[in-house]
Amino acid sequence: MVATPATRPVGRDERIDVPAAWRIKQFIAIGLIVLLSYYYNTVGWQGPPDETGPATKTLFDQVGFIILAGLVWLTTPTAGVIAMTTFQEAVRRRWMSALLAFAVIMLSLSTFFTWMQPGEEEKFLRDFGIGFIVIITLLMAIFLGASLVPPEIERRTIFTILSKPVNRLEFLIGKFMGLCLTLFLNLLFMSAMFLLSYAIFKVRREGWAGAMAIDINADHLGLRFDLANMGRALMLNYGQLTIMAALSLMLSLIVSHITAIVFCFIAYFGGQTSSYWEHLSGSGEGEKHAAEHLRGPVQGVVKALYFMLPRLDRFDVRERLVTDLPIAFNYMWKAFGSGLVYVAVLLTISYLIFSDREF
Amino acid sequence: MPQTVESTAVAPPVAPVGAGGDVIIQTRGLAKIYRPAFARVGKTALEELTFDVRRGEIFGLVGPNGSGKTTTLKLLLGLIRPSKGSIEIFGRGPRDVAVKKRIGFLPDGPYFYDHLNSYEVLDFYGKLFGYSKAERAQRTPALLDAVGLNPADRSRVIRTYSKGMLQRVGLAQALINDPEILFLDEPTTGLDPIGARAMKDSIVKQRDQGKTVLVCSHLLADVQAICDRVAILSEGRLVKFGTVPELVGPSQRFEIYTEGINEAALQRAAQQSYAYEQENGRIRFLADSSEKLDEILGFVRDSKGRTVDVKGYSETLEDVFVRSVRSDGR
Repeated sequence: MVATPATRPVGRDERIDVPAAWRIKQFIAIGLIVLLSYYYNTVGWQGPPDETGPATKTLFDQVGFIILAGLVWLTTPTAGVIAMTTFQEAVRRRWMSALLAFAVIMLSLSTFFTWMQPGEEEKFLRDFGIGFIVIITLLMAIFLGASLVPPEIERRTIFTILSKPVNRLEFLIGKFMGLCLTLFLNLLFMSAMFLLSYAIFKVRREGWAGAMAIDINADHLGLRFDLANMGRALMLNYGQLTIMAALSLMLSLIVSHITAIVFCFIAYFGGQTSSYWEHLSGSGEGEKHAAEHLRGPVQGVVKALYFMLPRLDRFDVRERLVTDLPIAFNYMWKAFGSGLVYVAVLLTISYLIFSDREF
Repeated sequence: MPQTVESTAVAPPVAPVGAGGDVIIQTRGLAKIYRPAFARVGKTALEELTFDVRRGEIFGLVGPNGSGKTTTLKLLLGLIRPSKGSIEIFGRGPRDVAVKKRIGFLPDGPYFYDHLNSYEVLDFYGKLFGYSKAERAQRTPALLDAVGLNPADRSRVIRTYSKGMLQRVGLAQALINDPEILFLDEPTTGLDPIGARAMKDSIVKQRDQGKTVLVCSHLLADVQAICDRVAILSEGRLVKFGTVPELVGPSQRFEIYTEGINEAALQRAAQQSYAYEQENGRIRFLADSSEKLDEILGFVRDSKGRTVDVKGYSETLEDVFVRSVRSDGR
């Protein structure tokens, strides 16, 4: 009989030994997050001119830092390998390439559509470009998120992966990280295309000096402001995408692929209107009058829905863009902080479902 | 001496079958009941399975569809959890990552990421084991050579591969970590005769290199040809277990072809209740035991006839399998 070391206690049988070199990198990354958190708690984020000063510190923000550090800690080399393969697989999908090509063509040609709103060309461009990118990347997040794990089970590729030294948490985190990377690079590519088109349009129209000039009285904040503001709006869109990707992943583990996609769209529209739900449930400050119309169980249901839905309207700042209002970093972090908490909850539920899933 | 569990046993075996030797896989009272959500009663896929697998053997797990062999394999790989009983591989639980580092698995009809080529697929699995770039660069082509995947096909994406080519890539990924135990689910299914032969040769080669191989198959001729010991499952129960010679036994049926036997001798043969048939001018005697064979050979000699050929027939694993499964019918 072979020498039998003591069997590990239940629950520790999937422990992964992470190489020391990788752990050092993780400690460095977590150290940076700690420094960031320290800066946030002492100095505060510096926003654009009209929104300077320290951010209001909320519990969500603090939990956001902890979750960010937790995600870094859970991303083992194996999760990294799975993430990279997920990315590789995703970008080679034909529909992904087609969607990206379509988006790039549309964004490149967006300046030709400005005749639709003479006199409002710039605003039209901003609204169209950002809106188009939001829709395309949202489709990518939902469809890719819903097809992260179920096809692996249906096609049994998961058998060969989980029979290797991979635990289920690493698998799930790896798949999610791979999707986040895919979405990030797609968003980056589309954003670069769009911002370049916008800059060219502006410079051709106003000349370099004119485009860069700032005249607050004439409501002309300059190309640099426009690009920075749109860049921030696109970064906020990324927060929304990660939430939708995590939601789509979680739902795909509970219901069928199609149902998950349908629920995701419902959650998206629900989330985009979360301020309305807040109003209806009487949860918001100064909104008590609305609660008078909803009482008893109906109010309870609306309240539950409000707390369950992701606050996606925080990530949608197109109105501010069109009206040339700056998007403060303070505001962005608040949205990201609460978004991170929501993603962490979704990933935890996903893991609880997936950890004892039988194939 | 390996034990043979007969299907006639009313109670399931308590003592492990196949015990003794250098045991590296051990199951005790393993049971699996699939219970759908909100259902009161589940479907028993496996009950009280207790057996040991020794280091360096090819162990066959055979059974008809729904007999529980794939369930057993999934339990051994930690893909599902047992409802009852225990599994130890190298003395640890099957979901232990340390165990997974030492095993390889070829699933039935393996599928891989469609958009990757075979080189990328193996590179991916190599990374999961934490191999360095240099190690992977050395292992990957060597394995693809070993499983006989044509170099021209290696850069093509997996979705263009035939079943045989997929099976080759499947074997290569199972061998990427030079495993001590190889789990193979239906390794020859869907392969052409040459491919099946190459697969069987590869399995035997692995055993000869000191690896332990657990083969799950319903192709009994293949199992009989390569396995050292075989467990037959039926309706989730172990009904027969032993080495292939133990299961099929020695030759039990003989045909004796003779010439020059006259009518008078044939009448004497009939009186002595010898079974015979006339065939192309020859007399073919049938004997159902070696004693009867000796007796008939003596009779032919005494009758001045000539024995021109003697053929012995033993049971095949398929005969044993069919008999075991039928007698187990509950």
